[in-house]
Amino acid sequence: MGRTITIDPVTRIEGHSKITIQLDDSGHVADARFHVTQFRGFEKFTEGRTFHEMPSLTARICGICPVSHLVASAKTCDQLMAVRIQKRAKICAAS
Amino acid sequence: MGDKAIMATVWLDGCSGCHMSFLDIDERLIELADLMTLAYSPLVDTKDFPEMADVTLVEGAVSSEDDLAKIRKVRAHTKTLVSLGDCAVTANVPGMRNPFLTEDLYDRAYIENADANQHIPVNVIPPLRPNSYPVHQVVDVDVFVPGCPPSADTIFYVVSELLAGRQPDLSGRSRFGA
Repeated sequence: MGRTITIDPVTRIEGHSKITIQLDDSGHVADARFHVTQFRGFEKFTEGRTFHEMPSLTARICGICPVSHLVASAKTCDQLMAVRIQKRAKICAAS
Repeated sequence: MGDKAIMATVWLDGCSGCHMSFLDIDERLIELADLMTLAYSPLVDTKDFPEMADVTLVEGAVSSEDDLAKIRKVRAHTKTLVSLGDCAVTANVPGMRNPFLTEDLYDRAYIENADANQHIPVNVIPPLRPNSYPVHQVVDVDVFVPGCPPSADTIFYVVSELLAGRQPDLSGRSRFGA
């Protein structure tokens, strides 16, 4: 088994990660892994909360791309409520 | 370097939104760059924390053993430690897991919700502590800046004041959630 190159932490990304690159005996890359080293448990702790909290909560998954989480969550809330969204509001939400 | 202040930023268990707000200072970053050197941060490539930072901004709650080790080290090598944002100040969103058992959180994410490869990545994720804590619960904090995230104007004000050797007065400048 050759050596392992570890890059920890990976900078200039959102979140926490490291990269390990496993080299074989001849120095070639045998395996490379990207490790996501943060876990907050959104999948569990959002259960049972009121639906209108979800756009604000899911936006906090990532401070670089909060808008995509917020819009996805808001659209889900629309479906949950079975409401018809006005065209103008849809355009605003999609922008 | 010269007589410039040494500054650092770290993120623990957060979303990086506070760091984005820091970057939203925009061109005023150039003013700050005249006063300080950003010696360590997720925004730069340096891997080692400086021997002594004058000011360190900490985003995020203390959730894992890694977070705890990191903040203790940062505290030992920082003169003025700033809890930046609601996660650092109150544990906020990361703290919402506190009523649950860690095993239940892992089960929901990695077993029940997983379509394939169901297993808990114990060798990848740093072990979680039973609860997520605000930073001041584990180390001394010198300045508290609430907000989710604090505005760029607030962060600029705080950093400018600290670099000028003054204690920032945050009354009316920032509040929880906004």
